[in-house]
Amino acid sequence: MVFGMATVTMVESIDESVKNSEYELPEPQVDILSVTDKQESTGPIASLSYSTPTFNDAGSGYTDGTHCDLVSSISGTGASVDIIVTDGGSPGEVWGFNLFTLVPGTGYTDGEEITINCGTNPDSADFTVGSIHDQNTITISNTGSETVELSHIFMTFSDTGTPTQGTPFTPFVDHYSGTNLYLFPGEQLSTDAFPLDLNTHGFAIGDDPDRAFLAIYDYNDAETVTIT
Amino acid sequence: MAASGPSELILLSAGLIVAALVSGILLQTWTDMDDVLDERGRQGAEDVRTRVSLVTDPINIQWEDDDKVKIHLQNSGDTFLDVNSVGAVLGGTTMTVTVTDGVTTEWLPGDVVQFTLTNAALDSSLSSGDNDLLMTVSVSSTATGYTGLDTLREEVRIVKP
Repeated sequence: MVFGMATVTMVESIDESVKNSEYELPEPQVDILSVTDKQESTGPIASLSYSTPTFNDAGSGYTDGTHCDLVSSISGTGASVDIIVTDGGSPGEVWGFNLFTLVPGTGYTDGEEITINCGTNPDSADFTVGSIHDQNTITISNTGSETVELSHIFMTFSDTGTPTQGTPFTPFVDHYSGTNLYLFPGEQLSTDAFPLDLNTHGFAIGDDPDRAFLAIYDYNDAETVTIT
Repeated sequence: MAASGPSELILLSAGLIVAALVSGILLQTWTDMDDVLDERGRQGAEDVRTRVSLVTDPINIQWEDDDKVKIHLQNSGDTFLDVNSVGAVLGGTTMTVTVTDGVTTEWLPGDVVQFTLTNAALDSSLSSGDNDLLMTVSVSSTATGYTGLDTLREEVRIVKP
């Protein structure tokens, strides 16, 4: 009986060892289908134009150097800029802007008129959106047989000409507004269009990195960015 | 028959004693083997669950300040990794490895951590432009009792300005 019990114990240990040796970590496979860098119908403001009185209203009562919100009547949000106010002529009229202080926001349309809201005298003067920034969109596909958690997919942009490598980011956490958490075998998914950000991607909004590298555990893929 | 009684008893007793001794030895050996198998199993399980992967694009890694590169590594295993026990060899040169942000202490499964690999002695071996080298990175898990190990070997292109 004692020998029998000892044998059973050892067989259980052997069985456990076999189970451990058969244990496998996930081996997901996700491929990049495309990475585009192009101007979308709306986007962050790249430049402003100001031509008064032909196109724009100079308003009144503004204070020079104030950082003001740029209010869109369509879909833009979040942009702002320091305004320049004339001393002569009609005091308090907007005369221009300091482009270096421009916060680009998002969702603005090329050519739209945006009003200048400084809080105390909102919306009496306006600028025109001169151009909008390009935005990136990433499309991937699960080419493996395992379901992949979207937050475990990392991508890194590179500029092969410089050469410069950016910072890894999680495209489907940072730039995805859908509700999916996983990418199932055979499924394709695209990010929202997003502008580059120095802190998130390692490239500034106006840069044009030309290579995208995807890493998911031990599996990698790379693709040239289509810049149009 | 009566004269052989005591000697048979002695032989029987001796036989029983020997059998008991042998059984004891066998059982002890059995137990030792079981312990070894159990230990190996636990160690193997921890090793299998320990894995590290390179997130940084290997084609374009900058050589910075004449003495360092920065790489991002992902804990692609199923166990916690120790950020303070990462080892690295780049092009045959042992590098000093530190966590770049200096504050990360936990490395959970799925997490990406940036490490700085430093050794000024490697600078003279590198030429300006592309340098294709073999990078080896070893990590260990923080599991109690049994520590899992994994080694990443990857060809990388170090770009020296």
